[in-house]
Amino acid sequence: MRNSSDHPGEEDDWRSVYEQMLPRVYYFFCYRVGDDCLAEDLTATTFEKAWRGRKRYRKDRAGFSSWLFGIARHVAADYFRLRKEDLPLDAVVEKASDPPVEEAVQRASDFERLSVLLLRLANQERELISLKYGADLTNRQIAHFVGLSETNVGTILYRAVNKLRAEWETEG
Amino acid sequence: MNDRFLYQARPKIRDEFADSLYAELTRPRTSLPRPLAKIRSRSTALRFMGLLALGLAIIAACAYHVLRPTYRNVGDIWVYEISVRYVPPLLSGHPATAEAPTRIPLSDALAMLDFPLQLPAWTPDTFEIYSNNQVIAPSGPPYRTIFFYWANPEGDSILLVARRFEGDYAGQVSGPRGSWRQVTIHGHPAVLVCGAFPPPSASEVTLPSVQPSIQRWDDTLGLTLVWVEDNVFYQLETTGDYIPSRDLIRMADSFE
Repeated sequence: MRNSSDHPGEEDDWRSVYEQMLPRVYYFFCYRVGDDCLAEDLTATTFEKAWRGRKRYRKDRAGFSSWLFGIARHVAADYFRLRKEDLPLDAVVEKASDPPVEEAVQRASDFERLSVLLLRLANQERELISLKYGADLTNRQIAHFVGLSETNVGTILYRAVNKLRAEWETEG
Repeated sequence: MNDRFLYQARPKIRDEFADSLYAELTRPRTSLPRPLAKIRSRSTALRFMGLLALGLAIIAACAYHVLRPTYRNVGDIWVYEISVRYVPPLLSGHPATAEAPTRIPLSDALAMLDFPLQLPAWTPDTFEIYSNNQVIAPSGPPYRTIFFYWANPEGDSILLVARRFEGDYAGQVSGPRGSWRQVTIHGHPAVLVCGAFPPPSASEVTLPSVQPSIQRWDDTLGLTLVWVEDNVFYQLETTGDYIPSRDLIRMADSFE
């Protein structure tokens, strides 16, 4: 039986594909950027690009979810590149000396707490977390995306999640 | 691996966001959709508009710089740099009935000129002066402008226009940027223009209501060489590629 998310070609299928994929893309960005409002913007950008390019999508090339998350990763990369260019020097300095993290964690919601903890991870770890727990991809799919071995992906994820959980429990 | 906290912590996706995004995506459009995220963020939209305006301004400035006619000064001569494209004006009504120019023999013309005219001691092979059919324009005597023709048996011609001038303004010559270069005649700065606009078609000439087509400068349609000497503006013209530029310059250098 074919997964409908891998065959969105006909527009009639778009609604069901959209409903299935929207949360995965949205959560991918939530973990990736740690901001739910921004995640909505980037999700919208991703779906808009997918919608415009749906005629170009070839079923035989890759599954739809892989294609869609390929777009999402580019959108995220664009966002980080632009943010890096836009960030003024004083903001960088402020950010570097900023984190009264413990204080922020105390009064934040669960997601805000998690976002703060995610920010402490290395970029690669955060991306793997996003692809695993947001996009709901398998380790094999993630390995294909990021160019690591499946074992490597599993190891990095294991360590990152353990680190996050320890901080989550400590600061909860 | 206990990772439940990762799922528990994530926010719930808003229904209104999901619905509005879907509606926006599937809305019928007559043109390409705008980036949703960009129009959602005011600062990004403003930046986008700013960049767009800046881009258009740069394009307009470049186009103005490239296309606007400009004057360049070479000695006493003004070079009018024009566009490589030209739309002739639409002719209407009856053609003007201009007074026919006066045609007189060369010796008479020279006698009635109010300035000493130099003539070439050398002309390209087979070109000879039309000694008995010169054109003097536009009024006189005394004449201040004179036209001379040299022609060969094949019907090719060289035209000389000589005009005495007073004051600072000697005269001008037109040509697109890149079509002209500065040369020297008798030690004076001179301008050599390569090419011309094609002449209008027969229908455009005979049918005044025919909309003239856009003309494009053709570098092979003749040469124009202008220089100034003793308050006389000289202009040598050819209408085809039958004379190389070095011969035209040699002819001008032989004026005495």
